[in-house]
Amino acid sequence: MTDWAAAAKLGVAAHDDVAAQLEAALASDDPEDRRFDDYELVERLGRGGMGVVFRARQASLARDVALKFVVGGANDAAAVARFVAEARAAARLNHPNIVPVYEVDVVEGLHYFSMPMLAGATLAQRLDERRVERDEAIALMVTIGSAVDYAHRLGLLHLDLKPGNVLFDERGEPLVADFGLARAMDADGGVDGGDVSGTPAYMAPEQHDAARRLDRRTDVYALGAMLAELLRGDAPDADLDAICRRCLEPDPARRYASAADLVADLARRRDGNAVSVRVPAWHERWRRSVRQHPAAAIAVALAFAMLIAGLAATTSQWRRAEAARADAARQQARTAQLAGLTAAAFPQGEGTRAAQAASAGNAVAWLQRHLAGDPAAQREVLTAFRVALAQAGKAEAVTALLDEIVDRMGADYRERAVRRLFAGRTRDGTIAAALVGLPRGAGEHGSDVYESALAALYTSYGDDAYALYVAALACHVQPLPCEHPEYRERLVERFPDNGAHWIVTPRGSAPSDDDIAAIVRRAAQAPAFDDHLGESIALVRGATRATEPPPSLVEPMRALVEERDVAPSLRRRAIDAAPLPVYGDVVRVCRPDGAAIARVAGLRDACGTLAQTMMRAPRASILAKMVGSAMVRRLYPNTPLAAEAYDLRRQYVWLGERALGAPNDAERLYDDTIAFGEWEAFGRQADRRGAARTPPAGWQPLDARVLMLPEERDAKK
Amino acid sequence: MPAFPTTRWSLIRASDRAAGDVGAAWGELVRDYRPAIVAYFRRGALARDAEDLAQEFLLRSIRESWWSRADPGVGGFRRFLYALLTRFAAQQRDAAHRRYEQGGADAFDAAGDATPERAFDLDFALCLTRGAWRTLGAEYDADGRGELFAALEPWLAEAPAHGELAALAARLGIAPNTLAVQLKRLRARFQKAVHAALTQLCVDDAQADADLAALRDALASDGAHA
Repeated sequence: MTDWAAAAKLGVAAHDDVAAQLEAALASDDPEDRRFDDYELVERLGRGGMGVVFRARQASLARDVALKFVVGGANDAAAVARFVAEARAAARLNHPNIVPVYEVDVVEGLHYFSMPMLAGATLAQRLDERRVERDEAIALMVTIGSAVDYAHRLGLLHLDLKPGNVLFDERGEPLVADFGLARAMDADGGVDGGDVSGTPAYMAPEQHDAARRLDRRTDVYALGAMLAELLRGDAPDADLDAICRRCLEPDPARRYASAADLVADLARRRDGNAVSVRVPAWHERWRRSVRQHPAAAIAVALAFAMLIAGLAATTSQWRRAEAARADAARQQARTAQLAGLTAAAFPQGEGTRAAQAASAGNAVAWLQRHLAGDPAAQREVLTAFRVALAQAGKAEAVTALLDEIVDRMGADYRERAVRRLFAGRTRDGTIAAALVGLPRGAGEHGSDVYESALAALYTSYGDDAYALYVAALACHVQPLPCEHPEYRERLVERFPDNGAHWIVTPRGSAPSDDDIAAIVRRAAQAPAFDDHLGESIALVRGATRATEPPPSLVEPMRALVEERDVAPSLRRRAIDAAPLPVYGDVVRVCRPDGAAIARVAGLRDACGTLAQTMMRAPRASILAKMVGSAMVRRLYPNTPLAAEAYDLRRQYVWLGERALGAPNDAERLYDDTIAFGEWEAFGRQADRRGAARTPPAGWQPLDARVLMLPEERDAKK
Repeated sequence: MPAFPTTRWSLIRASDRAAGDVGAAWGELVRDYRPAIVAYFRRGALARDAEDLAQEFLLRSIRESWWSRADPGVGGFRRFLYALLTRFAAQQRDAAHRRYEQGGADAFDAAGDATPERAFDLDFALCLTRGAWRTLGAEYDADGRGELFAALEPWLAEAPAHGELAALAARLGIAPNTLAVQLKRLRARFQKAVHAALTQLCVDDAQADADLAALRDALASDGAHA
């Protein structure tokens, strides 16, 4: 019989270390001794605070796995329980850049989980061997950050992100490891501090204080610390420095709110676009001149519509199945997965703005059709999609989506606003009705109120240059042919001294090259050039402040922006949509290698004069100045004039990167554009930010191609 | 909140539980540790009535909800139980004194060398380890290794004589050194189970470690007790 006193002595003796026990088994020659259930221990790989990791052979599946055992005494029963719960949660993660957890189990009283054995080194080892190039560092952090964001969305915080926890597989893909020891967020999206331990160099300040809450921004800090380490020894880079600093802010409230936001900025930096922390959302008016690729756009849009259909179906099923929570979690994962596929199909990069707009337009049209009258469901689908876009490093595309939502779902809202603006029959109200009511979609008719507003501008404000210009401009840019050539005729008759007035020919009037050449020659005689952007911004801004948007518009928008950003987003879109003349015809007939220049006497000089006026006019929009600059460069290559034009382009890119700041800067930029014109507004913004208005000699933009003429860019490809 | 939902001790210490639940949990716990209670009285001044006293202690503790004194500051079960026993014994001695003064029998015949505290600890340790052993046996059964568990039990605390393990291995149809490893693992798991059981009777790890040290002392100084 058992000697219970002796057994009790054994029982209360200082217990054997689990790790030591496993090591003892490993030392045995007999494979049976090294066997744990389905696994045979092969070698010890490492040991950390909470666990010890072995390479093991899984007999039934004939594969090598890493087995991580929880060490620490039975006194840690609570810790073990937590470990098991959270390793199970980690096992739910299904992401190409997260080391999966195959199995969470207990064998002979030892808790463990199994993971794949990855062939490559850890990022820490790689960093020891060689320096990581800047582009590689950015790409790595985009991938890692996206994976971390995915885990965050499934409610898990990692809390020990570091280069040692990033492994490379045989293809060289980075995978984030050690999610088995992650913590599950509570309902408030955080965890209590306390017994959480990390690696000091990568630990956020709040991790050193047991009393403080940890949340996804704690992981953002570690990601920033990793980025900083990857960039160590690199030449300073203002964008990346700003991104690192934002991550490493001691106060979590000042960091990126999510890993997705960090990824979005890194992706912007990678693609040569302005990053949010330094140079946010500079609205690139050049997109109007971007060439479209209709076939590609349609193919993408179709794929997109199919995916979005699956996505919405999943979402609504998921809502019906709300009773079963486990099921909901699965559906949520499925929704995220579909959204990820959809996001992957979303066009991205240089020259895809038109395709982006087409895809986004298709998605929004689909939502309107299939989830009509259910703004909450629309919001749900859009939220999943927004998250997936950010994860795919395409957060920029959110703007395209937002614009389409505002344009399409805001049609009723805009129509109401137009009626209200026009109702008072005031000058400003009538002009604003024309600007806001301008039809936007292809093939879209203007409403009766819009047509009446244009007519009223013509009849009642015929002596008002700007009022008359708006009537002519609307007639010039609307998508369908305009039946009112008299608007422009009266404008140039009464106000011929502004070159912009000559250019706004009615849509659909199909002028011949000779007609356009005549217009150019006439416009070139005008001493001034002002496309009235400031006045338009002033009126549109006032109009958007006057009307409250309805829930059918606010709800879907809330999927993409914070509540407080809904109104500014509406305003931004309205102001972005403020019309400017279309310069394409003028640019075409003024091409030095074109037929018109060869045929029409004096056209070349007229083109040159008009281009210089546009380029130098203080009140001309930046678009007009850039069009003028490009025309000058083509007409007078290798001359001081061309150098002046090139410098203007360079200065614009410089100002764009330096001058545009936090979102609230947009309002000041609008103020200054109204008061001083768009160019001066950029300069003043640079002054406020302590930047020079002109770039230092030798400065080059992130992407030198933005300085090239389109044809030079094409030649470069 | 208790870290693991419902050990009996954490249930008792949680003030917001229904009294019925708590009473039942307390009753089970003190019955499990009855041998330690008896051992305490047997080493005390009222040794001859030890069984009766233990029974009375049990009944009164349940009837009078003594567990309700286990406020959050009280700590682990072992110390709480010991404190209750000391108080109960003092009351009994007072009563006995009164009987003595009234001409009763000699109630003060001290029994043995061991102090009541040491005796209590010894039997507490035995209760604890037996309980842990039962839990471990259930785990082995659940894994389909009940036979192995039963076969190894005799050697839990005792080195097998030459050839004994080999014979057992032959009977079980496994390699002798594998059986040796299994025995090692059994012992390690037994230790873990004892620690886990004690932890469940304590408020934190530090206290569990202190209790463990006290039990180790008690066992070390009384190897003869069984």
